Amino acid sequence: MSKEELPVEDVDSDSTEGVEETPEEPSVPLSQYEKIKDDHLRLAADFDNYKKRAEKEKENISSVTLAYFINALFPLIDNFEMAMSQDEISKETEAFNSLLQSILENLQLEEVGTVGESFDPSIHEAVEHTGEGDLQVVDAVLRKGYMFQGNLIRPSMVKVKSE
Amino acid sequence: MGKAVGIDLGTTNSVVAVLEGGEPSVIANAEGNRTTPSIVAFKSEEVLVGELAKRQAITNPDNTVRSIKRQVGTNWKETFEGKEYTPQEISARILQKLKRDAESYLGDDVTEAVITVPAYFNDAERQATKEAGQIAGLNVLRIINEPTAASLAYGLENSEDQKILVFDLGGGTFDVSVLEISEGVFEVKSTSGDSKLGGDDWDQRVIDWLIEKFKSSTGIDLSKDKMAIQRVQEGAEKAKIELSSTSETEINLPFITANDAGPQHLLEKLSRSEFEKITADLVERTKEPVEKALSDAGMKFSEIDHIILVGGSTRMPAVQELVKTLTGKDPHKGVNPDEVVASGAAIQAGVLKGDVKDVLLLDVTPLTLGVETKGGIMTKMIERNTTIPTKRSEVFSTAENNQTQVEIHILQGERDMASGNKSLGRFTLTDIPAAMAGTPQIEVTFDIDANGIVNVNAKDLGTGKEQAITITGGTALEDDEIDRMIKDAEQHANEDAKKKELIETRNMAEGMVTSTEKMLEDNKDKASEEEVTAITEANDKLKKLLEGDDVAINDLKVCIEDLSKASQSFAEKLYAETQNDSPNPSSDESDDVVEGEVVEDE
Repeated sequence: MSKEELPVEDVDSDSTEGVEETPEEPSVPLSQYEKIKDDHLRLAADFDNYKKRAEKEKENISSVTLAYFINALFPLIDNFEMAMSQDEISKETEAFNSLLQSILENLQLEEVGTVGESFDPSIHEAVEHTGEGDLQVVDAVLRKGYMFQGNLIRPSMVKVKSE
Repeated sequence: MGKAVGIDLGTTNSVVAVLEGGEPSVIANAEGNRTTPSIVAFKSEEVLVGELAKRQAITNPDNTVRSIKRQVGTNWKETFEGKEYTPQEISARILQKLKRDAESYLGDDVTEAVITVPAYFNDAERQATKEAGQIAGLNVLRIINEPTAASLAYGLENSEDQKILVFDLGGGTFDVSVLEISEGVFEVKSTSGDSKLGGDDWDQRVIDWLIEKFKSSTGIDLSKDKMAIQRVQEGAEKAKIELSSTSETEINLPFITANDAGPQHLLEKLSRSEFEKITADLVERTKEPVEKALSDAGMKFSEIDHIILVGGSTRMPAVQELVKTLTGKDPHKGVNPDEVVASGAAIQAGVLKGDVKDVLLLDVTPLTLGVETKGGIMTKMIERNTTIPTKRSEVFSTAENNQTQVEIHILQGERDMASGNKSLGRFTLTDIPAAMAGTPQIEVTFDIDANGIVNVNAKDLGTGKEQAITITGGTALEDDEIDRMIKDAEQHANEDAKKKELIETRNMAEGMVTSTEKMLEDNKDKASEEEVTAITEANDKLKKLLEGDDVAINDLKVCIEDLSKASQSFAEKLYAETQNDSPNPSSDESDDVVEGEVVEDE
């Protein structure tokens, strides 16, 4: 605290607690009191719930941010996929792709969508459909899908065949 | 008691929002998206809604329902997997998903809702929408018009009588409404639009443009290739969105296709002016419905008080420009146009539940409040813009040995140095028992009530003695004075920060000197001659430096570092010894007292 000893203006020689004249307390109708009390409790509860939600959202923030960033990288990831599926691949492309794949692996990005598995709209997006029948399987993967920390970032774009 | 939400049940997409603390907040669905496609699908005894239904649509076209809103209020009935459904039942599925996801987010039941409908919906259509809500398990508090909801979102119902034009350009439809508010009651004067005009049409123009460009340069027609078209479509939509905020964008789609020459790449630059040229006629198409709506309402453009934009497509500069040119006014666009209808519905839900009526208008402290601490520093207690009423306590101590009173100097302002801030008052707490600096515990509490009156209380936690002060007028400042103080603080921020750092370093140094001297004094029998010499030398050097008034911070830091090094090994030795000595005497529980070997003092 300040080390100067300044003269004290005796603003309140007594503390504000304690000596008080208690005037006759004004009364409030019970119904109004109940309403105010209820409003207060609701606000308190709302606040509490908001706090809980804010905590949860805070916990998720880093994974949400990362997911957003990964989303932004998709054009790059996809184009490398396509480049790698060409007949002729330059050494540089291969090297860069390798680097990109290891980065994605370290980020724990999981691929979803494989040929032959049952069509599942929770991880696949069908853009073409052939055949008839009750069984629906993934016939071709046109673009990979990805999951990050258990959440789907992008569904896999697939061709579906019914048989 | 459950929560009430506002739902924008759209043709293509739906949005749900809730009122929280008087403000509408859009709720993300289970997939993490703030809008949910209005699509329902029936597959293997399961009902899929939203994104999932969309993804499987092409594999299950007969059992996937889109745009059910166009059928609401009609006798439409269809059978899916052996069961017959009305439009209400289909819509109910969408509402159910929104309800479920909202409950999951809020952690509370959602039992009531306000649902919006187009202003031109007739009685049967409104009734059907209400039924859909009931089937979904919602008590529909009210069905309100979309343009009305949008107006509520902009807080327009509280103003005097107003005439409002709502321009709603969504993904697939265009709606214009003219509203009149009179004594808080909304009346739809006219509606018009084009049910086949939307953002998708702008996308298509870009797609066509890209296909044409590619054809002329490579001879390949991409429209035949499903996968290529998918990518072109995505690229086109992305380009359209980017051109709302940049003047040029690039559509880059490598390996779009292949021919005998090898893989082919699509790379085109599209400028905003080119984009506006190829879509000019679409923008022009919005003019007629606007003019018609006005003439049907019997009004002139000059009579319109407010223009509201709804729907993502109104983000396009060309659209905003047209609205401005046509009406001579700047449209309102502060609220997210995709979410404005749901937000307004949430506000209406809040009003009907009585939430909004009783919303407390809470004030904030305009400037930071704090106390002066050692060295003339402003120590913040309550930051500016903190909502009041509020209370904050902190424990301080004395700066000098045997200090028996402390002065509480209350300050208001943003500067780091106390002298730069406004003094609101001061008082003294006396009769503090003499002790080493830093030992007494003085709890200072700032309590601001709802009227902005500041109560400051200082209590010696050791003796229980307290002193307090109430500050009234001092906290009320004119707006421009507040602004000036804030600007002042920003301008001096660097300078203040440096001063503050210097003072804090000084304070730390002084503390170090005191505690080093104490350590040596208490333990002189444990220290070797060299240790005493080394430590004393470094300590004296620092002490001497502190005697001067104008000390460079770097010099201080160097001396602190030296003293630290000199006393470190000794301090560690002392600490290690106390670990081996008898257990902590202040612990009352005589639990596991390990009878260890007594380590001889060195």
